[in-house]
Amino acid sequence: MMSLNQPNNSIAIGLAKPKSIFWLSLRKNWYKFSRNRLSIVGLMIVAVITITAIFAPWIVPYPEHASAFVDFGNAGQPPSLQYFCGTDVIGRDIFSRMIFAFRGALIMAVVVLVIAVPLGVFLGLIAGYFHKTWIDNLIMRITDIFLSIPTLILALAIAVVLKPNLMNAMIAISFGWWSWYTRVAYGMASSVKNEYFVIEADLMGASKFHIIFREILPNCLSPIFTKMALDVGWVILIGASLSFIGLGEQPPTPALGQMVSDGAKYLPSFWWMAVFPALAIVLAILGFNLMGDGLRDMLETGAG
Amino acid sequence: MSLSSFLLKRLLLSIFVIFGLSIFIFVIARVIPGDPVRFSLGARAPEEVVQRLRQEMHLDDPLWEQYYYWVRGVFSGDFGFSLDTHREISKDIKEYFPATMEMAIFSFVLMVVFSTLLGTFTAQHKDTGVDNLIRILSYFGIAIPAFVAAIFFVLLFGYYWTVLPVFGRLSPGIIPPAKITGLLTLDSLIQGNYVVLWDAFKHLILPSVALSLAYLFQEARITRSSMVDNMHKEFIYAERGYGIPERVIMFKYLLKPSLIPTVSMMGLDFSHLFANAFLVELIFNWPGLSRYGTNAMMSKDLNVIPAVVIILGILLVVINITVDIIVAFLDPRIRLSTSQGI
Repeated sequence: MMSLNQPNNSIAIGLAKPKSIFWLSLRKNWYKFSRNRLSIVGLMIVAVITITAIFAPWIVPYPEHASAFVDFGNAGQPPSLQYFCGTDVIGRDIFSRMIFAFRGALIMAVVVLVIAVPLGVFLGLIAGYFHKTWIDNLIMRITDIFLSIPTLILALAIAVVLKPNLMNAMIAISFGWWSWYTRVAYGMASSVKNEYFVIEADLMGASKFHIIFREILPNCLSPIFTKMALDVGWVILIGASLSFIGLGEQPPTPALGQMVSDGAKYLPSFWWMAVFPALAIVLAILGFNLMGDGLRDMLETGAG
Repeated sequence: MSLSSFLLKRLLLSIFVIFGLSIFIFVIARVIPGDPVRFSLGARAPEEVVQRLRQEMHLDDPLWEQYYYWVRGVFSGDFGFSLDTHREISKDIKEYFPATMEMAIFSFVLMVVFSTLLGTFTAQHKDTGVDNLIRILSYFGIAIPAFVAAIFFVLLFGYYWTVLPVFGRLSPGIIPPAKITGLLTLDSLIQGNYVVLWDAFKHLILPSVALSLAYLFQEARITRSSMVDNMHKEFIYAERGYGIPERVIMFKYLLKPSLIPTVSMMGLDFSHLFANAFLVELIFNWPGLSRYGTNAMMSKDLNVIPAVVIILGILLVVINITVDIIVAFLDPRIRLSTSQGI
């Protein structure tokens, strides 16, 4: 398929104005991404989740149910046309609460990556640039310590110290997450720094800052973006795990893990209280994983 | 020689990592807000008792001195006592650890066996309908968190289709076997007590499946893609040319080199099994270290938290070194490269 596609593009690039090269590469990447139908499915799931989460107050049937709302008359209703996923023990619509819970999950994924990725990449670049010096040793040994313990345990240990809320859960997860990016960036940076264009920039008198962030960093971005795309689902998973044992968003604000653990108390007869939020977690992770795989295929073949 | 020096270096690094981890987790446990002693003894305990316990625990000394006392205790196998249950932590750990170990080992066995089978099977039937079906299934499998799978199992097997137990390690009324290793299945097997063995085994199935599900599918995918990559290597064509039966090629010559990426992943996954056991043990009421650790964390038991984390840290380091050795044996090239590189 590549050979069919390639000549067209090169001719088009030759004739086109510089501005449209961007659009061409976008189209080419989209073509690569859309070759796999599962990536499209993933993208659609992610789009639906994101859009409904953003516009939750205007979309969901009972927006007021996402907070401290009580309606004992409709408590424990099974799924019906009125309540798509049933109601919980105090009569709140589970479907509405799930959509609102997606907000917390998405915010968590974004914030964790926004904290962890720049920190991890920065440390990795520094360590990689000062390869085999004491700076490298210091940074990478500390990284080893953080890599030695699974993220969930680390996040748990930190989250219990802090007050249980969404922000602190995000901080706790970020604590466990940056080290993986340090390792990726370190691996890339320590090999890229020996390339000729870096040595040349050094000879031309470029500053360390310029070399690290303008010469080395752009060449490390592809694996970092790939890892980010694949990580979103896992951040949501760890976040749901924390909120499952009560270390996340606090009631009455809904969170998926918290809804599952609340619903699990009423299991056989009120099965919908746990099952639908659990399925929502699976759906979110599935969507982001499928999309992440597609992005990885797109970025990796694009780099090669 | 080269392998041993590589391992020595790994070992030294690991000791450093464990020390770093212990400092980190110790500091974390000690900065928990609130007075842990007051918390432990209750609001009505007399002030002098609180003061005496504070002194016993060296809580009024500087942090580094507290750490010194703690490490000295750890080296003699003494983790102090739990502030919540007032029991000795080392005894608790001895009691709970085998339960977690049993579940993790069983999950690991499930993962290795089924991922290898599934990976080989899908590689053999590459790009057929079965392969595609299993691929889509594995996307779902990977996306199901262990605790969600556990909840579904409890719902399904606990209430509707009660063929497998979903609570604890043994049925009520069954007397546990005399403790040798602490692994119920192994102990009862050694003592020839097949009733207990069968019961313990049944209790193991659901937690282990819930725990290993996601990893199983992930490993299967890695095995598959690695086998597909190796399928068109020249040595396979050569063996086919010699007339070696296809089955032998598949399982002997193709599987072994294809397992290398899986093995290094499996080591990582084995350690992740312990992390994910945290929630699975809670749901299945499995009296293991992870449930113990979670309860300690929730009750802010500052003596238990570092103990559990350090035990897990040491365990994971041991697993990682073991994986390095296995990989070195599987792949002679890695053995060579360590002799040149390090």
